[in-house]
Amino acid sequence: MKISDENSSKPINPTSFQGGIECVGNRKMGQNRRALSVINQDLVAEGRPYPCVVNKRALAEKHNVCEKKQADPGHRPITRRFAAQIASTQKNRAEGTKKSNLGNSNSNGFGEHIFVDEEHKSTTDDQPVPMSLEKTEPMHSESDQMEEVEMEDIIEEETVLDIDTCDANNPLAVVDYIEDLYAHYRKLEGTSCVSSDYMAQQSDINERMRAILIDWLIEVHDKFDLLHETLFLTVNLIDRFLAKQTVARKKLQLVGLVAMLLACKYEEVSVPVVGDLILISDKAYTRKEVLEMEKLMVNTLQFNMSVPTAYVFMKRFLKAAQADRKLELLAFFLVELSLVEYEMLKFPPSLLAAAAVYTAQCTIYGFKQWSKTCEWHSNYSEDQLLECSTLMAAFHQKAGNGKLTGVHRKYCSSKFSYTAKCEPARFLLENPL
Amino acid sequence: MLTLREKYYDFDQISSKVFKCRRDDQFFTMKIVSILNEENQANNGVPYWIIREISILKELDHINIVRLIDVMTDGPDLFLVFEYLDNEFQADFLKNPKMFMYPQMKKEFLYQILNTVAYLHARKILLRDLRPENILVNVRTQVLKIALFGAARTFEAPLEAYSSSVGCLSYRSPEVLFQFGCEKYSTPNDVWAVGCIFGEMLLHRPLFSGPSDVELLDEIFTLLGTPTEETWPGVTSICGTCALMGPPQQPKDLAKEFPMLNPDGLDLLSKMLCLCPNYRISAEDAVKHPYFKGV
Repeated sequence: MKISDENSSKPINPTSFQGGIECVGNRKMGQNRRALSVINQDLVAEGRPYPCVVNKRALAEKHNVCEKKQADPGHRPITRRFAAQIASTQKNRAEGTKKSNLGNSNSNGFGEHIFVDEEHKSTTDDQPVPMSLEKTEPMHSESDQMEEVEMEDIIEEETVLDIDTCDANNPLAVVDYIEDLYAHYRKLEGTSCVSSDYMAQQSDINERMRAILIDWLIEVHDKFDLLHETLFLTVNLIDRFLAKQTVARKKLQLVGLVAMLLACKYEEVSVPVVGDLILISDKAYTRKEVLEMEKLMVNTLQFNMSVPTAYVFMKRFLKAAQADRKLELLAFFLVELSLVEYEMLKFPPSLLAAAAVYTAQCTIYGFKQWSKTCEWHSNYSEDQLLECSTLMAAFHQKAGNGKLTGVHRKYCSSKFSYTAKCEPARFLLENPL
Repeated sequence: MLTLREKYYDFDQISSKVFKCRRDDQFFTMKIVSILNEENQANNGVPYWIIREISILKELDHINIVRLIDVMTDGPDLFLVFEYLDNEFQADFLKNPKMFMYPQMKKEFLYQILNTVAYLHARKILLRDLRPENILVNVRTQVLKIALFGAARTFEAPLEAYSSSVGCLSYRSPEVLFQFGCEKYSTPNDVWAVGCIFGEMLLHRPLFSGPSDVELLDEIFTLLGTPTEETWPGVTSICGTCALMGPPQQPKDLAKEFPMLNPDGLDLLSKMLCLCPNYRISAEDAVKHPYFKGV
């Protein structure tokens, strides 16, 4: 395959595969097709869980400002004595006790005080501790009366983890701005979605043809070894164009090819040349037709290509789920199955991404799993995901059957760790909404 | 779809490729960019950089950014329709003699620049070529506008490696000049450029003006000192024996170099001109700096 050199000074080896999800973040620059391997190392390859995850805050306090702190792997264990100390403090606080003994407390620099036993002081000084152990009021001295309690008596509320601490020194991860950025994406996704009934205005094409086109493009995308985001943007461009422009059946494949060309120009380091696209369409279109369609598409879409697709949300939510490679691959398999299905256009990209991560977790763990961290970062509760998730589980169940098996074949390969062969989460289908 | 002539009328040429035009009693500035020359036509259609650039500009809506209103292709040309800025907006704002009449005005304009940079960074957009020539000001209304076309990049999209063609030399950060450690542009480079503009506002001349990378680095180190492991962790392992480092120099006292600045101003300037990109203040934090109290 020829590669246009317009955006890359180095020769590209078109056969060097991305290796599934590894394309995001952890590959060496030498073999990296991505120009920005350091951006937002959100998806961690090789099955390693996310490092540096620390407790952020209880969900109930999610609107309060919190200071982010690095987890301390060597912080003291919660002994019975220490547990009693915590319980006693909570009890005293409930009774309105406001005594303070700063001599025995260790300030964390934010005007808060943290428990430290004298015997452990040398090892814990100047080391941050998990947020869940922090107290917002001064603590009592150990001479205060304490009662022994069993560990079972202390039910610690599940906390929201701070998933960005490990990127604090990576300017490209824009940790300072990340919450604003995703709020901006959420606002923007409404304008970049299409109506889920746009096909009604098309006279010569239908949902089935759209599904065939996208299933084929997913295979093309894989063969060309393109980035994940390119695929999601391609589908977004197709839908937005078809929602505005009536297209003849014989031109639908051309729309798909040109959408992929435009998505490549926006996302990729190395852009496939027009000649390659003509070849994969079995020379169904001429160069002139491709370039004319490109002009029509950019005019129709007004060059609006900076749109948040499900991909940007997937990165964030997978990070929140502390996903390993297996979970990532499964989530992407499910979301790609959903790209093919016209009925899934009724869900915004963020919901699609959250449901894919949720369904993948259900599939792997065999039970419903949606942590407070996932809920906090996605802004979706488990209940809000169930409709979409049930549909995804159904697509998973029938993925290998029927005529459109492009996604299934792709994820049945060793390159994608045979992900499609795992059993679907049937329990999600047992009680459909 | 309406054609260009159906949408806009009363074309009035401003320069060879820039026109003033009208639509519904509103004025606009139209810029013509040739995109489909014979080479492109034979090759790959609309160039990738045009697609990235315009899609970035289209999503921006900020009072201090020249707004892109409309885009149309017609034959080999692309027509970019921007908001119209009247004659009161002067380009290359530091060359405007009225700029230095009131000290408060400098602070006001610096605040607007930083506010814009923070807005862009929050959308994962890098300026990469921030310099006075790209900044227009209306001294009467004290409104500043940054013209972004040809400069901005999103860092969700791939970025090229450092190259001498990106960014005006005088405003290029030390990590770019060093090509330090990584090959990519990032947010601290834009903050460095704002620091250089701040210095230029105060001194009425470019802060650094070396004609080459090596001479520019020498000027930077003369003012700010040669970086060490303390001031820039990892710098010696990358550039310890590098000729670019030159002989070790001590940082000058900024209070003596900029006697017109109060302590808050000196603090902000030193944080924007911090040699280590990881320690450099972010645009978001700079906007909240005490120096801007009362702006």
